[in-house]
Amino acid sequence: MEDTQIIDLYFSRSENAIKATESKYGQYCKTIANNILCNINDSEECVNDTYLQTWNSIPPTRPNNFKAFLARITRNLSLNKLKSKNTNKRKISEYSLAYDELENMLSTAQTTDAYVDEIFLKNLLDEFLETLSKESRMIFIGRYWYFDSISEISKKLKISESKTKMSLLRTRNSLKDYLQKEGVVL
Amino acid sequence: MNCEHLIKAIGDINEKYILEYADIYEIKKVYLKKYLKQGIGLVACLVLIIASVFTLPMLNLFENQTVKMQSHYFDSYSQFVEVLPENNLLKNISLEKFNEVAFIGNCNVGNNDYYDTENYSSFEMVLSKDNITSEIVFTPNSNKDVKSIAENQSLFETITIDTTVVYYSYNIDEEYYEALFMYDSDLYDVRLEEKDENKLFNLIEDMIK
Repeated sequence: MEDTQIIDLYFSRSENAIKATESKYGQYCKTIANNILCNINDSEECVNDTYLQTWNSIPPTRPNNFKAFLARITRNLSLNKLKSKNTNKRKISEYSLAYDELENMLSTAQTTDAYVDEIFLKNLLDEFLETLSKESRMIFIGRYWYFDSISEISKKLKISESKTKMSLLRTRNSLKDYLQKEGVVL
Repeated sequence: MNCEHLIKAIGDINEKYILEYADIYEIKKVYLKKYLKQGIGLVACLVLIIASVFTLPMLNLFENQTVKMQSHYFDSYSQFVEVLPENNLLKNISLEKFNEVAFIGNCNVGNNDYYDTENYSSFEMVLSKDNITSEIVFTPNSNKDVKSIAENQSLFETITIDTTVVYYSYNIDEEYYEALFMYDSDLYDVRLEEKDENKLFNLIEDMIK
């Protein structure tokens, strides 16, 4: 079923909308949630919450891209769920490894808790991503948006793990430089 | 700004980038369906079954590869060089801005900072002098076959410098030369933001002198 047809089902308040969403994007959402939560039950719960939030958002929202819309909701809900749990007992998920990598990048720049406008930062990130080669960008997104493992990214892009790791390191360094150059207090 | 702000902001990026990565799955599915329709699916299944019979006994060889990759970061160049193996070449390299040398070699086991190092057969270090940002990534059972790594990284040109075979290529998109070579049983990955390949050769020549 086409995405526009699924969205139309939401607009007509048909419960088939959720079934169609689950059938087409259920596994995709579960993977995103599980990379963050590292727990099947929590991930399934999170994906169900995604359906609920989608049901509550459409209408009035009509997403330009339904897949990205779902992915974003799943990611946000999973991060919120993780935060609400006891983080001291957090399992070593791909999220926690990716988090450590970014935290290390920021810590080498003497991180502060200074406030940075979210829209400004989002625009800077969009601009920065545009400067990257397609491959470097996909590796970065795979790691820090989807929280995929290094080996998973390497398999998907058909490159060596070594190349993936190096690309990530270089992109993190470039991002740090870029943000500092644009006046972001890290 | 802290890490949570950054992760949240990454979540808000333009959806075209989110889909760019997600679309890898879509392409695979389309191709698979196409081939199955053409009747190649059955052949592929048979090949898989036969391949499994031969490769299953080899799976035990990879038990150790379940070890997770670990990273360690350094705040200064001096801290970084302290952990390099003796007689390393990196100490003498003069790096220009943005240029990097990665070293893949055996780890100096015994340093308290690197617990469980016995589980790792090699490590990689990436050094960017001006940023003073360095990293060691421990990799279990890393492949040290320079030719296959070079092919993986699309470094198809070769040159021999003082009996050392160097695999290299120019990255047109990002405008840098990358070279990979084995020297003294260690693997080096050099990136140089130069358009003149001779500068790359000169750098490597200096390294292996």
